[in-house]
Amino acid sequence: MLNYLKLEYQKFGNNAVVNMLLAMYMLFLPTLIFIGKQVQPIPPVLLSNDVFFEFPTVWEWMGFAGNWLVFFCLGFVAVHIITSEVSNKTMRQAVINGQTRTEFFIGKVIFIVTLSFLATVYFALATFVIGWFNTDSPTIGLALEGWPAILRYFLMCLGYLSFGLMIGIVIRRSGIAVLTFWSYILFLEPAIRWLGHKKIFNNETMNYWPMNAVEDLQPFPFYKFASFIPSEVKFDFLLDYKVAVILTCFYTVLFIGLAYWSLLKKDM
Amino acid sequence: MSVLKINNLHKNYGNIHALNGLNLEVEAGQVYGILGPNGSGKTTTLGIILGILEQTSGSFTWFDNKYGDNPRRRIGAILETPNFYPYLDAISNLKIVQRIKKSHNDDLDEILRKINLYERRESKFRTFSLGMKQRLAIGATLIGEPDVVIFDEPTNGLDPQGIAEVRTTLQDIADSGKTVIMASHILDEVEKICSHVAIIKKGNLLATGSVGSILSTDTTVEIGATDMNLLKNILSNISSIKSAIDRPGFIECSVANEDQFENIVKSCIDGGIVPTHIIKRKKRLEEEFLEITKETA
Repeated sequence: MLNYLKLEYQKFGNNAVVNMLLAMYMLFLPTLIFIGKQVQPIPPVLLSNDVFFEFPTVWEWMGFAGNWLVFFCLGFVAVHIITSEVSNKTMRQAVINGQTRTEFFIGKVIFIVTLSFLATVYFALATFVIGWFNTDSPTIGLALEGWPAILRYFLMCLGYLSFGLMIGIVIRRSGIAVLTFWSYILFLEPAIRWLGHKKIFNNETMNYWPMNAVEDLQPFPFYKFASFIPSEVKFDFLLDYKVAVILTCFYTVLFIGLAYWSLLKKDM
Repeated sequence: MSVLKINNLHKNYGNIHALNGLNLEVEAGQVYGILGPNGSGKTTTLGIILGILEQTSGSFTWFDNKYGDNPRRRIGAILETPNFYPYLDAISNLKIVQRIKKSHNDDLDEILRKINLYERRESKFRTFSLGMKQRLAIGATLIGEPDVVIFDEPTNGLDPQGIAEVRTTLQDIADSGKTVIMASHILDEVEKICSHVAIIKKGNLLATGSVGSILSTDTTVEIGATDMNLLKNILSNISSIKSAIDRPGFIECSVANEDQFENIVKSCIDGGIVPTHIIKRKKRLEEEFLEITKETA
């Protein structure tokens, strides 16, 4: 496993696109939440903008900020580590040089799992530090109330990154793959859910779509107060965390399986 | 020992039959040229035996299965273009190949010197000229001391200096005793470097054997004179001339035996003609290739 990681590091350690996206993630994750300082007036349901920074709610707000950043930056990295290998023809050269397609694929899966783990560790550290210095009388016990959010964050990273990996392997062309990745999550899936699925089955199953399940692992905390939001829907606006976890695990395995199948099937 | 055996290999791209039951065998130590015009199936053949294309049917075996299911770590190959990470320098790119090949040899500096890129080892790949990129790719094929090296059109797109540099490197590799498989449509290249050759066209094997056996023993005599009509008359009466083709300024004659050269010159002088152009040469691979591929056109 270490050999696979070292190889991926040799390939992408000096890649400008990857480094820029990782820097954006690292810079924005701890700073994005400070936009909360500027929120005026505070919505009545929140009482104070301190909830953005205090334990335990800081885990939810940081998780939501991370949700966007993982999708935008790290998802792009997952697409890029495949499409750049295709456009530079280094993927086929790796096979010519002796890697099997399976070995090449294992390297990429280890890469996204490791990146998800490191992104989660960074999220946990950043959230802990922000929470610690913004909570009156912080305690370890209070801080650790957020540990389920850490696990969900890791699964969220895996969900986005495995989807990015699959899109990269199936589409292969850099620009089209990234556009497909972003536009599916931002526009296509919501459109399918709200304009298609809801009209046929107006029930909770419209929340079972893959990227929605991944998003609901770290949702916009406002949605917790969905009863305040006028809605036509007669069911929960958000997936239960347990359901979101199960669905995300299922979709992650599915994406990785489809990506592997596609890699084996196509000529290089 | 057999390095590569290809049995009845077929590859279809939709309705197009790129390979039609190709059979080849390469022995250890041979410098084997695969010759064919563009689109003849050379790169498709190499793509299949290197694992990046799936054959429609047929099979191939590397090293009599000595290295099991994945023998490619024992092979160094370039297919079509040199493929490296453009944002990495030469040495970093070679280290990646080294890791993929699981080679523990500390020989990268030596390889860089051999391909004359040692001074540029810390330059990014994207700053290299095409010739330098091609030489780096040739260097990468030598990592891990492979049993066989494969080159696909190694001088394609290079300027004359680049061609000369790459050919020198290829010749050195061939002279080192390694098994080399080289696909090319440049006949001069194959003739100079290869010991054996296979000629393919439209996915069919037309001829195979040592370069010597493919080249006929016929001798070509080019002869020109001021009075070309009289020259033609004289030559038409020489029975040992197998064929005579009109070329601008001379007639190209083919004779079975090079001793006939003297007889042709003597006949001309006896007939009252002083030749203004006389060349005797062995038939070249290019001519054989054109004849072989023309017969099947």
